[in-house]
Formats: sequence, C-alpha cells, structure tokens
Amino acid sequence: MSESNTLYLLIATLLIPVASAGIAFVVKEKYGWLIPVVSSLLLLSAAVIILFPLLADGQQTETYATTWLSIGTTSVQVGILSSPVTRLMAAVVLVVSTMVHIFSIGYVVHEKNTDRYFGFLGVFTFAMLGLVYSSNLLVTFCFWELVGFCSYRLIAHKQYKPAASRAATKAFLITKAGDVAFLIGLLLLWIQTGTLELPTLTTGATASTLAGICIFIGVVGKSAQFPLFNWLPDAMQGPTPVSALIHAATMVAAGIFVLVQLAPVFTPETLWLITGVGVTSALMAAVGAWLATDIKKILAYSTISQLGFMLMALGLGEISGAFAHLLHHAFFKAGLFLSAGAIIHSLHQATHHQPDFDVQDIRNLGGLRKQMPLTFAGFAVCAAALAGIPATTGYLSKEMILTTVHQQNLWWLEFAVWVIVFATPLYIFRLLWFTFLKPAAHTLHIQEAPWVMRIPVLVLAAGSVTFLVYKGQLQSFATQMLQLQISVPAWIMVGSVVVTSMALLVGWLRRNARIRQREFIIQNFLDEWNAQLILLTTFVARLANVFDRKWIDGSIHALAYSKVALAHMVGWADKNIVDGTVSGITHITRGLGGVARSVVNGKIQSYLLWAIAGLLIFIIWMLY
Amino acid sequence: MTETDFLFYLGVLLFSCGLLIVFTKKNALLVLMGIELMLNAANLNLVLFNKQQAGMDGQLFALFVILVAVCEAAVGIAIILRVYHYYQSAVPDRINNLKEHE
Amino acid sequence: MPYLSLLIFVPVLAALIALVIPTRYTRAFPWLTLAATVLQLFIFIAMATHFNPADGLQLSEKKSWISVSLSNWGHLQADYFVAVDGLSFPLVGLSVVIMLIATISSWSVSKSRKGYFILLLILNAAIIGSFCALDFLLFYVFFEFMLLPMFFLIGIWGGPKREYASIKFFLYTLLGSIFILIVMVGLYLSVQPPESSNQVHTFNVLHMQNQENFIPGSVLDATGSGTWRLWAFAILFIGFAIKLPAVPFHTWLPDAHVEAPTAISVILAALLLKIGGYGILRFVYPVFPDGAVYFSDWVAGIGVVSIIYGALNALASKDLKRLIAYSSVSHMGFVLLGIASATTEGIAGAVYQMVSHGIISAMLFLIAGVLYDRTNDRLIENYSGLALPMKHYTAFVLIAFFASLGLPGFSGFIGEVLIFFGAFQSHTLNNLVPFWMPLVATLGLLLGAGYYLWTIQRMFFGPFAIKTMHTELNDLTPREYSMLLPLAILAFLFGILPQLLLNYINPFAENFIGLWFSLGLNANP
Repeated sequence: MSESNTLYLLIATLLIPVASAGIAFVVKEKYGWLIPVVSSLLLLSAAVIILFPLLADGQQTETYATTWLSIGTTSVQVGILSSPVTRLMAAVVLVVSTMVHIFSIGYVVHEKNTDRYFGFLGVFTFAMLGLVYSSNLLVTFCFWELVGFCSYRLIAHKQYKPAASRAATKAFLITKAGDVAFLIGLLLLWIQTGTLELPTLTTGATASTLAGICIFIGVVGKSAQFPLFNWLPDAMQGPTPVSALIHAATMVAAGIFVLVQLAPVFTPETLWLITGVGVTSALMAAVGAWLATDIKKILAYSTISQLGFMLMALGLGEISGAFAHLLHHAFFKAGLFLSAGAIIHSLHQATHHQPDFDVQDIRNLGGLRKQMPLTFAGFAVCAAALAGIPATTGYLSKEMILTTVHQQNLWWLEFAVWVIVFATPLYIFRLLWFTFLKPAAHTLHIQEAPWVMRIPVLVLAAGSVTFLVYKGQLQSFATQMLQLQISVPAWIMVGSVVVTSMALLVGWLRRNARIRQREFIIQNFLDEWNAQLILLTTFVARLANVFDRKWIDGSIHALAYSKVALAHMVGWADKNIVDGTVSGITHITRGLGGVARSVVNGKIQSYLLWAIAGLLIFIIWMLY
Repeated sequence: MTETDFLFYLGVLLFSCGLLIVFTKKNALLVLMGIELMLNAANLNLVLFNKQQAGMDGQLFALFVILVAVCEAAVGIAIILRVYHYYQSAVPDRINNLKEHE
Repeated sequence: MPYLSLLIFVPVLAALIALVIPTRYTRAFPWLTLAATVLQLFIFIAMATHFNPADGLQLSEKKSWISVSLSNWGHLQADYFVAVDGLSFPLVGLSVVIMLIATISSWSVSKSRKGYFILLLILNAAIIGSFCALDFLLFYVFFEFMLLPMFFLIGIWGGPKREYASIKFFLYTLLGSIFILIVMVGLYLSVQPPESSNQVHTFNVLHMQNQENFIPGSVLDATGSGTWRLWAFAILFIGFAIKLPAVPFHTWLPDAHVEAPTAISVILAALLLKIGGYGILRFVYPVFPDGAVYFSDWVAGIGVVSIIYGALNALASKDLKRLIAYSSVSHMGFVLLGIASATTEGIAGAVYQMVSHGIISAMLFLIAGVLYDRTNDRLIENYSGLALPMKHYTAFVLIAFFASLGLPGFSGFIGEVLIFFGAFQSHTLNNLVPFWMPLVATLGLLLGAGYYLWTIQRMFFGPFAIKTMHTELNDLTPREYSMLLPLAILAFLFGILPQLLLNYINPFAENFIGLWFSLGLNANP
C-alpha cells in the first residue's frame, strides 16, 4: 500500500471517531435514538478501514509528521507513526471500541444523556488512537491527559450520583499525580536528549534513571499499579461498557503501550523497578480479586493483576511477549466486562431496578448458565483465555512470559510468577462458578441479553481463541502480525497446564465455601493513605488561608492602621504643639497686655505714684 | 549733725509723710492734708535755705507758698465737694472712670 | 496610518461623546461603548495585516511631547512614543477582545450607566496605551490612568465590601507606582540619548536598554559599583510584582476580585495583571540584566511560592470568585518562573501563559458572574448538582476549569509546558533557576487539578440542591453565550495550533535572549 494511502486511511481512522462524537453532541434530543446507531456504524467503518494498512503494510515503519510548535531551536512535531506495533494496537482499540459502541446500543437504550455518552466515547477513541499513532512523546502526553479527561467524564456519566462523581474525581487526581511525574520525566528526557521524537529516542542512548523513573510513575498511575491503583476499583461506578473500553482494554493499557515504545530508553535500574512494581501489583491484585464480591471489582482487580504481569515482562526485556499479552488481554478482558454488562442489564430488567437487590454482588447470582447460555459461552471462553488454558490467546502470551522469567534464573521471581499463574484461574473460576454455574440463589426469571449485546461478547470471545497454525505453531492474530517466534520449553507448557488444572480443581473443591465480604486491606490502606494526604493538603491549604488573612493581609492592615495612627499622632502634634505654641503666644501676649493695662486703673493715687516714681528715677539717673 | 542739718532731715521726713499720705489715704480730704503737709515741708526747706544766705528771699517765698496753699486748699475742697456730690463718695479709688476697660 | 494612536484614542473620543449625552439616555451608553470597542477590533484587524513579527518593533509613532528647558538644570524631554512588537501585539489583541467582551458583560449594569461606561472607556484607552508606550513617562501616565477608573468602578458598582476593596486596591498599586516612579526618575537622570548634547536626558526605554547610553558616573550607571542598579532592579521589580501579583504582594487581589462587578473582574484578571508581567519583560529585565541575573533565584522563588501558595489558598476558599482569584495568583507565578529562567522557551512560555491566562480567566470570571447574576451567592457549599438544570453552563464550566488546570488541547497547557521546559533547562544552560524549583512547581499542577475537580464535584455533580434564595436557574442566555463561546474557541484554538501565537512571540523571545547573550550573561557564572 502506498504511503499516502496509508496516511489517509490512518487519518480517516482518527477523524471518524471525532465525527461520531460531533454528531452525538450536536443532534437534538428528539433524534436521540439515532445517535447510538450512527456512532456504532461509524466506528465499525473505522475498524474496517484500519484493517487495510494493518494487513497490507506488514512490517513497514513510516513516520508522517509536521511541525506543531517551534521556538528557537526547539521544535515539536505532531505526526503519525505507522509501525506494526501502532497499527496493531490501533486495530485492537478500534475493534474493542466498535464492540463497545454496538453493545451500548442495548445498554443505554432507555437512558437520557446518550449525547454525552457517545460523544465522550468518540472523543476517547480519537484520543486513544492519537496516543497510539503519536510520533512525539509530548503529543503522546497530550493525548494521555485527554484520555484521562474522557475517563473522568465517562465514570461520572450519571452526574447526579455522588459516588460516581467522587470516583471520577479520585481517578483523575490519582492519575494526574502520575501525569505530573510523567511530565517531569518527559521534560528531563527532552533536555537530556534534545528530542522527543519516538523513532530518534529509541535509537539513541538510554536516558537518565531519574527521567525513566518519572515516566514510569506516570505509567503506574495510568495503568493502576501499586501504589496508585486504588482508583480503578472505584472507577467501576461508571457504566459497564465504559469500564470495558477504558478501564480494561485501552486507557489502562496505554501506559504499557508507551513503555513498549520507549523500552530502549530505560536504564537497567529503571527496568528492575518496573519488574518489581509489576510483580507486586500482580500478586496484590490477585488477592484483591479473590476477596472481592462484586463482579466488576473482581474484573478490575484482575485487570490490575494482568497489567502487573505485563509490566514484569517488560522489565525483564520481554517486550514482544508483554505487548502480545496486552493485545490478547484487551480482547478477553473487554469480553468479560461486556458479559458482566449483559448480566447486569438482564438482572436490572428482571428485578425491575429494585434498589435493595445488588445485581453486581456475586452472592446474589447463580444459575445463569441456563438462563443466559450465549453470554455464558462468551464469558467462559474469555475466562479461559484469562486463566491461560491452552488454545486461547492468553495461553500463548503467558507462555512467552513464563519462558523469559525462567531465563532470569531468579528463584523468587519464578516462584512469584507461578503463584500468579495459580491465582488467576482460581479467582476467575470463582467468579464463573458463582455467577453462572452455581445453582441460583434467587428465583428471578432472567432473560438472555438482546442480540445487540450478545454479538460483541461473542466476537471478543472469538478473538480470544488462537486460530492460526503457522510454521507448526499455534499463533494468535497478534503474534502473527508481529511475526513473533515463540519457543517455549516443553516443561513450561506442561507445567502451566498442570498448575492451571490444580487451580481449577481447588476452585471446584472449594466451590461451596461460604463467601463473606472481606476487607482487602491493601485497598483500604491506600484509600486511607490518600484520605490522609487529602486531609493534610486541605489542612495546609486552610493554614495558608489563615496565614494569608492574618499575617500577610494583617501586615498590610497593620501598615495601613499604623499610617492612620501616625496621621492621628501628627494631627495631635499639630493641634497641641504647633497650634498650642501659637495659642501660648497668644496667652502670653494677652497676659502681658493685661499687665500693661493694669497700670491704667483709673485710680488717681496710683497715677500719682507712678509719676513720682518715674520722676525720682529720672532724677537719680541724671545725678548718677 | 548740726542743727540745720537736723531741720533738713525733718523737712525730708515731712515731705515723705505727706507723699505717703497722698498715695495711701482713702479719703480725698486727707489727701489734701497730705498735700498741705508737703507744701509745708517745702516751706521749711525755703526758710532754712534762707537762713544760710543774706536777704529775706526765702521767707518771702514761703509766704507766697502759704498764700498759694490756702487758695489751692480752698479750690481743692470745693472740687472735692462737687465730686462728692457727683460720685457720692470721697474715696479716690472709686473715681475711676478713666480706667482702661478690659 | 497611526493605528496605535487610533486604538488608544477611539475610546477617549467615545468617552467625550458620552460626556455630552444627557444622563437620562441610559440606553445610549452601552451601545456607544460597544461601537467603540467593535471599531477598535476592526482597527486591530487592519493593524494585524500590517504587522510582521520578524520586524521587531513596528507601527511606531514618535512625537515630541514634553520639551521644557529648565535653564541650569538641563532639559526635560519626554516623547509620545508608541510601538508594538511580538510581546505587546498579542497583549493588545487580547485587550481589544477582552474589552469587547467586558462591554457585553456590562450590559446588565443599571446604576449610573453614564459614569460607568465613561470610566470603562477611559480604562480601555489606558490599558492599550500602557501596552504600547515605549516612553517611560508616557507609560507611567497610562499606568496611573488605569488606577482611578478601577477605583471608582469597584467602589461604586461593586459588592458589599466594595469601599474597602477599592481603597485597598488603589493604595496598594499606587505604592507600586511610587516604586516605579522612583526608579524611572533615577533612570531618566542617568540615561542620555546617543545623539544629544549634555544635560538632555530621555525617558525612552529603548535607550535605557542599551548600556552605552548611560552617563558615566550617574546613579544608575553600570560602570560604577553597581549596588544602586541592584537596588533599582529590586524596587522596580517590586513595583510591577505588586501588579502581577506575586506573593507576598498579592493580598489586594482576592478582595478586589470578589467585590468587583463581573465585567470589572474580567478586565482586572485578564488585562491588568498582564501589565505587571509586561512591565517586567519590557522595563525591568532589559534595562537591568545584571540585577536579573543577581536576583534570578529570588524571582524564580517568588514565582514558585506564588504557584504553590496561590493554589493552596484556592483550595481553602469557600467563595467561588475568591477561588478563581487565587488561581490567578498561582498562574501568574508560572509567568514569573518562565521569566526568571531567561531561556527562549521560558520567555516565550511566559508570554504565551499571559495571553492564555487572559482568555481563560476571563472565561472563569464570566462563569462566576453567570451564577452570581442568578443567585447573588457565591459560596460553593450552597450549591450541588448544578449540572442538572444548567447543562450548557456546566459544559462551559468544565471547559474553563480544565483549560485552567492545564489540560492539553487548551492554551494553558502550551504555556505551562514551555515554561517548565525553560525552567528545567535553565539549570544546565545558564544556572539561573535552581533545579528543585520547577520540580516543586509541578506540585501546583496537581493542586490545581485538586481544587477545580473538588469544586466541580461539590457544585455541579451530585443531586440538585441550593441553599439560598434564587431566581429561576435558567441555562445560558444568548448574551452569555456570545461572551463565553469566543473565549472557549480562542482557548481551544491556541491549544491545538500554538504556532499561531508563537509566530508572534518567537522573534521577541529570540531577540530578548539575544540581548542577554550579547552581554555574555548566558554562560555559567
């Protein structure tokens, strides 16, 4: 495919979601029913369009860029990087987004505000694609923040629900903290290497550890890893399709994606940090998924765990394995979420939205295998992919990662990974059992989800199954496009099957154990820590306010009052001293006058006296 | 001190008494008396000085003085009587129409 | 074609016409002002076609203004000298747009319209004059002329504590003016234009920027001990920092903003604060580069303190307008940080941030005004769930808040990124800004997100409830739309196409730094 064709097609895939969003925002409420259909069709066309460059361009890499801003010797290019990685990621994003759009036709059919919903879904898809295609890290950062904004708006889609708005604020603030670090890392990188163009960066030298760590902190925030993951379970307040798109398949994967692109830039110390955080998060979140009783929260923790798994692989240098797992995870996790959405929808219909029946609590569910067979099938296949059962895509990428881990020869790392491999089927089977297989705990008559909601689940489930045989190996669409060579030692293949079976067995044996709602202390700890931080900040803020009013403003007031006091003093001095002197002189003069006047007192004898006295003085003066 | 000197001092004493009476007495008639005393002291002086020279000038002058004193006393009493009639009082301090008013 | 003088004196002419119109024709005054501001917009557009950023200072008009011979003491010479370059041109454009919007916002004023609009017109002329004047005395005259209309506008048409706020504003900025006056006189006595005889000094700031024009042995000459120059820098800087406003000289701002009527708040935030930044870039830094280098970590420190302190105070504010006022303090701190870094990117970022903040803060204050017009109550805690009755209003609020906190796609992000880039680079390039300062300043970004999001959550999301008497909470009227929409579009435009503005700013920034290079000041001291 010629270069300009690719460019135009890729730009088309960028603009179509914008058009979808534009239509959604502009269309009047009277024609609101049109919006879901039109948006879905537009996204579907975009998904089809992306297939052309994806299949035609193979392994070619090309950058199309133009100058966005330039000052002095610094310039930032905005452009499209068309490489196998970006094309594949874009395809996955578009397919998942299309499925979510189609699913949403059924999910939001009776709600208002579909304009906002589809509008922001469209903007999100655009921003995610922009992030994927971007050839410059600063532009990536711009889209990175933009997807965060769309996530904020979509989590708080039901604006009148306080819990939703709180969850949205929490999500934005925690990821913003990560974003600030990302920005610092980005700037440091820019200053150290002089450029932010991805092709140039990745062929240059490694950046400083500080820059790498800062960028990684941003990834930790966005991809919900320890210690910045506590926003993700709360983000489940948003509509389920939103969770499927944003908080499972794409936005949280953006961090991993950026690391995949920037991998050559990180120093070994940074990479070890990445591995450590990944392993920790994976283990912690697996525990969280095991403890949770809400469908969506279980899936959320599962996402965190899988992302940690990917991070760990990245840190060890297994970039292709991590990226393949990212793509596979997008499909099966979105499938899981959409089936959960179908379940929630059907149960809401059945219970007529009773507030006291929590449709998302797995203790209330059960027996859905018979009542929602196709949804069950889709869910089961995706769950199998998550658990890493052979013939699923998840199994392929998991094996690649296990191989790399084994090559490190670190016993503790290997142990941790096998624990993760054990825990994952455990919790997902628990979910599967309690939702579908267990005899029903309720007596509701539940209908299968409408076709518009079943098809996306089935499509995604189909995408979670390996279907190609190439060069004697099973390949998934991802590994095929990336032309990955997978060479997994036999013992690992066998071992993982054994471990997975053991997990399923344990899950089966413990299936009738009563589950209670137990605290996940790490989540509580992080939430508590966040709350303390916020309290501290608001306390400091109030302190600053008091300081501002009392001290800074107070000193201004003191200055003003002292000026007035000074003026009063000067006034007093003027009145009493200066004017007093004048009055004093007046008094003296009057006194003197009085004295002088007293001589002329009308008494003849005193006149005589003065006359004689004067004469005497004159005579004496004359004589002497 | 000779006899003459003693009489000079007497004259001075008389004059001073007369002056004092003029200054301090609260009755106009008494002031006149003081004036008379001063005149007589002057007379004494005249006679004494006459004694030290030839001729009768001093004593003659003294007679003139007595004559004038009598006339002046008469006129003075007449004035005092008119003043007393006008002011109802013979005390000089009360006759203070020439006083500077505040 | 004397574009700049036209721009400055059209509102003066309109004010004179308004003086003549009898007071009872109250409807005439807003229309007259609107006509004047629209005319100014057209003049500006015509001017823009003649403006080439690469040419530096252009469209200049210079006439001798005060020329008085003082026999033995020499000759007092001041010129009417106006011109624009890459720094002042965007700011003049901003002024024209903001004054137009403020005029539309003033339509709701009902008390003493004649006085209000005449004062508004005088303010208009003074602001544009301040941005164009290149003779220090002329600048000072325009600068002072801004104070008096503001005093009356706040003091008569303002809120409950308006007399206190207006006197505080007036006296505080007058103090700053006194500082400027002192240094201005000192500079006048020390500078001599190159082609004149002895005893003839000049107020021309361009001459002041050239060190060779300083009379040897004068007070502010560079060849002396230089301590007087450092003092002069500090005093002149403080004079403009009061206007910026920089912490700790900022306390006049919250009171002035809270008590001022909406249109005046808009002008105050969008324009008057920029004169502080403009003054530093035009008068302080180019004339005293040695002082700038000496005090660079102080200037940057004040900037960082303003960012964090302003953000903290915004977080603690209970009044919506007070919150926005403190966020203005915080954003202007970024400008100081950019200026202090003395790198091309930092300076360009500072100018960009000034223009961007002008647009965005105008939006913010208009938003506060929309609410205040309906309810007369600005306390955040009295509101909840405003998104339900006022959908379009909420959309603009979200645009304004997110633009202000630096979301990419809006102009604020560009300004901040450039400033941070310059500030971080300054550590290795010219060692003027310590490394930890921009690092701490990034905290301001997080705090900004904090208080804005918290406000949205409290006031706009959640169930609908109002704890105060109110009229009908109608969504935006067409008049309000006409004010908010252009600003939103501008903020978005400058966010996605930054080169539109940077084309004007770049030559200025490069010239500015070039001046420093020529003084050998960019090397590590």
